[in-house]
Amino acid sequence: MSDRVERGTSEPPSSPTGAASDLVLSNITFVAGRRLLDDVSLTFQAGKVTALSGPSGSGKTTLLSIAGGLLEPSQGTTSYADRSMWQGTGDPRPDIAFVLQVYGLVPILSARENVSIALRARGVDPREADEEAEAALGRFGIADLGDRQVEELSGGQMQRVACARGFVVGAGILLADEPTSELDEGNRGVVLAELREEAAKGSVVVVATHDPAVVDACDVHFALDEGRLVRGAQVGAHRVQA
Amino acid sequence: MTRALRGAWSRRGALLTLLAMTTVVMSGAVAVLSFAEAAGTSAWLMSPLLLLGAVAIPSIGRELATARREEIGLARLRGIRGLRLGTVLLAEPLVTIVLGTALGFVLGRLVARVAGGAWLDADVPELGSTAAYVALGTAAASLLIVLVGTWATVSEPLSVQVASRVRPRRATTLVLFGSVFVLVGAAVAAYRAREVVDGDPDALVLLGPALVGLALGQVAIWALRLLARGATGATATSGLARFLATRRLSRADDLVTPMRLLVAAAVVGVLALTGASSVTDWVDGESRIAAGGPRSVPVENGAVQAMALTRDLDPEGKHLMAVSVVPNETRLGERRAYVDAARFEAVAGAFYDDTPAADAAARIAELTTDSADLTVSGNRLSVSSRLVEQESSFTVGLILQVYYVTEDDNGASVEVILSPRLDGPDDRRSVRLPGCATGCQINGLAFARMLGEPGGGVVNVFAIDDSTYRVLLTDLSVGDQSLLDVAWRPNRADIDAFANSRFNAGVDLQFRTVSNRPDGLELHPLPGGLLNVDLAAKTDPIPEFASGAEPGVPLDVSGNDRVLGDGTRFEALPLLGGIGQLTDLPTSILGSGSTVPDAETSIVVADGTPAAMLTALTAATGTKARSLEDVRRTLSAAAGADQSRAYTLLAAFCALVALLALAAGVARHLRSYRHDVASLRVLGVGLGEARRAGRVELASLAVVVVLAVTAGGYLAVQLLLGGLPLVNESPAAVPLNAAPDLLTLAVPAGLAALAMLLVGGRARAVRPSATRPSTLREEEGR
Repeated sequence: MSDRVERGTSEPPSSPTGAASDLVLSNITFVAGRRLLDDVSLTFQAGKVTALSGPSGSGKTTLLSIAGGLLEPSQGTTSYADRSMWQGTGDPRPDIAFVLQVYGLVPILSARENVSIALRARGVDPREADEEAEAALGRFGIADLGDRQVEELSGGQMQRVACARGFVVGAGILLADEPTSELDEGNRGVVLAELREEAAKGSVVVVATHDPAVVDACDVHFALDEGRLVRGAQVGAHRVQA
Repeated sequence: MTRALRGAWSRRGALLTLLAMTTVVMSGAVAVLSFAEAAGTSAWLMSPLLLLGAVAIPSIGRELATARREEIGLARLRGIRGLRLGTVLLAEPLVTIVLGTALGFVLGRLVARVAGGAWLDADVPELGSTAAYVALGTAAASLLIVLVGTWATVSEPLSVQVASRVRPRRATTLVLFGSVFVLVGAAVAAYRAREVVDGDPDALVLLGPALVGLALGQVAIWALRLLARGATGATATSGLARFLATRRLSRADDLVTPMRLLVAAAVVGVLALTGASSVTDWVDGESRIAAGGPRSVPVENGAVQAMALTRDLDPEGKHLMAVSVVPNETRLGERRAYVDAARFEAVAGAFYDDTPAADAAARIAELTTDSADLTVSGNRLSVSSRLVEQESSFTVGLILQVYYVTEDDNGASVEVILSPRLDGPDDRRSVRLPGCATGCQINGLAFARMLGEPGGGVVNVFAIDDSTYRVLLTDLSVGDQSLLDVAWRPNRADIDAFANSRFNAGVDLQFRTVSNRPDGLELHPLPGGLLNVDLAAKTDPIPEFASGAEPGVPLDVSGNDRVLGDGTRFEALPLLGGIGQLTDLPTSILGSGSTVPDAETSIVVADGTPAAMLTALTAATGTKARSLEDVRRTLSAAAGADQSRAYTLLAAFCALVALLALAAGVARHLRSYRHDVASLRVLGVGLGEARRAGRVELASLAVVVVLAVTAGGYLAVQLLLGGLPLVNESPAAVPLNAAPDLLTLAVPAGLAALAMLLVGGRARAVRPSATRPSTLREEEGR
């Protein structure tokens, strides 16, 4: 595994042929009281920004959680760089980064600390982590809020902190759940640009969203409905098999 | 109705906490009130508990209001405001508080009965109107406090109430005022505690322990927050666990805020323990001082009988010791005690060790003198005499009187008319000595000329004969004990009175009236009137031990003047305590009269005294032996020592309030804490790291709790304990030493830290499944 995966600053893992690895989900079924996902198979390609859409309750967040190794599928497998995403504990692999729908910010930490701790957890020196966190907040236009407690921030500001935290580690896989739901158009553009930049580095980038504008900005689009994959498409030039 | 019940059920956590808190506060108040009444101390001793309850309840009110925030917002949107809104909001707390009050009342009575049965001899009295007022007042105050806690939420803007995300509120002016009030209140209570001299202290002094505890708890929280913030830079590079712990200490509320109550309760505990320990030590010391020995048998017939009995029943002086105490608590200068010092070591032994009188007890032997013992027993007084010189025949004989204190402590005398001759055998006389069969104390003689016509007949008693008439008493004895082995001395006052009388002008008194000769006692009567003869030893200075600031009045057993030596001063004396004079009984009794009625005379019985000896003693005195425990019980009741137990009861309930508040704080924030850990796990911070952070946090909190309780307890004891009712000390008692000691500080501090570790540990011991990152997808936005 490369340095980038270790601390998220260099290239993503690649296949033996030299191509960056894809995130592959095969025959995923997830049952929790009812069947939330039903035999879903798809591949999130490295270097592409993939949109995952569907109505509320269609299984987007559950699919992202399984893709990121937070949930164990009832059936089926998930793999990235020839290793399963499910590690047996519900903790994600270090080469995964999330932007959660509920942000998952830690209230005892400031905005900057919420970002830098993701780097520190990956072994980055605290001072370097703080500097990178500051820079990441700056990219999302909230550098001046670094010392604020997260509970003092508005919903949109929290969401941008969550984005900065997800992006800053430069993980091989970035799973973003509704990352623009509380953002204005300008900030949405910033987020989409950052997503695009991550993909350009060879990362797998997946965005769960309701927003058609976000879907349009993505390279690939999968749609879910009642736990089933109802559409698999490459937006624009290339069509992708569902 | 169903909807209301469903709503209440959804808030059952906060409502149950309110119910438990009201029950604990109410039961504690009733229990302490009942016990205090039985122990004869202030009914407002329970006020610290009420204060802690008042501090604990607002957070429950806030929790209830926060749980109903959206409901409040919707009600306001529907136009429900003012009293109607208040009624809706207060119905649940009102029912809960009424229920808690009723439960608390019953439980409190039960606890009071159990505690009274275990700690008091007297029954716990039925509660009167005070308890009813306390119950009503507590319930009303609880409701008011809940209302105040609710008010902040009710008065929020509608937009905030209906928002999905709860934002933390900054401390309100009321909270800041409360903190300042606590600090100022603690300072004023400490000041007022020093002003209390007698009687019940005021309510602020009684609140003092809780105020000082809360103040120290508040200061500890501020210090902890500041230190944690200051340590952020240092911990930023020292590992994630310390960094997270520092951050949580500086910002999280679940364990830090209840720490104030925990510290306050522990400070009350320090005070209670110190008080109880001091009172126990004081009662033990005072009981030993008062008892004189392991057991004692009261003697109603004065010191003479006590002395005689000890010599009769225990001639070797190993088991019985006569003592006599004149308590004189109204005239402290005349407070004194007499102890048979020669027997002290054998009888009392180590009895006074570890008491304030230990130093004096160790040196009691210094009080003994080699004075004679004139405690005699017998039915007859024998006198033999012969004439040494006679100038005229006008004096035909010698009237001799012997004064003594009878076995039943009355002054008595016998008179013998002597007709000694110059030649021939001694004139021998024997007279009955009433009241001396079992022992009496010879305390003086007197003699006068027997005037008469030659050949018989007594002339005018006012006649004077200044011719020489010297008589030698060759024997003066009771039984086989001679009274001539001691030195006698003429009473100077009698001689002066005779010489200064204008009727006796020109009468020559240039002769010795009393001469202590090897072969007897030579007497030369005054020309007229009676001349008293005292024991020479009566005017010798008697060694004494003294205690107290003022010098005492030197008096003998009968209350007459006595010459005492310059007494060695001690902090406390056996039998007397902090004020009085202690002398040797056999020395002091020489020449004294009947024991003063106020005296408490007894015979101290050593451990290991043969049962037969004790039986004989009680048969002789007609009284029952009194054990140290009897003395302790009597003293404890008289001094109101049970008051300290009321503090123990109070401290226990304060601890319950604090534990409840701590547990409620933890429960209130548990979900939030799990969310934080899950968020950290998503970021790649392992569960182990989160647990390590929890351990560092708990260890830091435990250290802060120990420091705060120790400092608060020390201050509370130093500043307040002197002003709180613990015992009703008699004026002469050794003052209660209520200084803080390591044990009474360490135990509450340790228990508080343990409570923090256990309750906090439970909060931080998160299961992996409860904090798995996937739970975040199930969360509502925060």
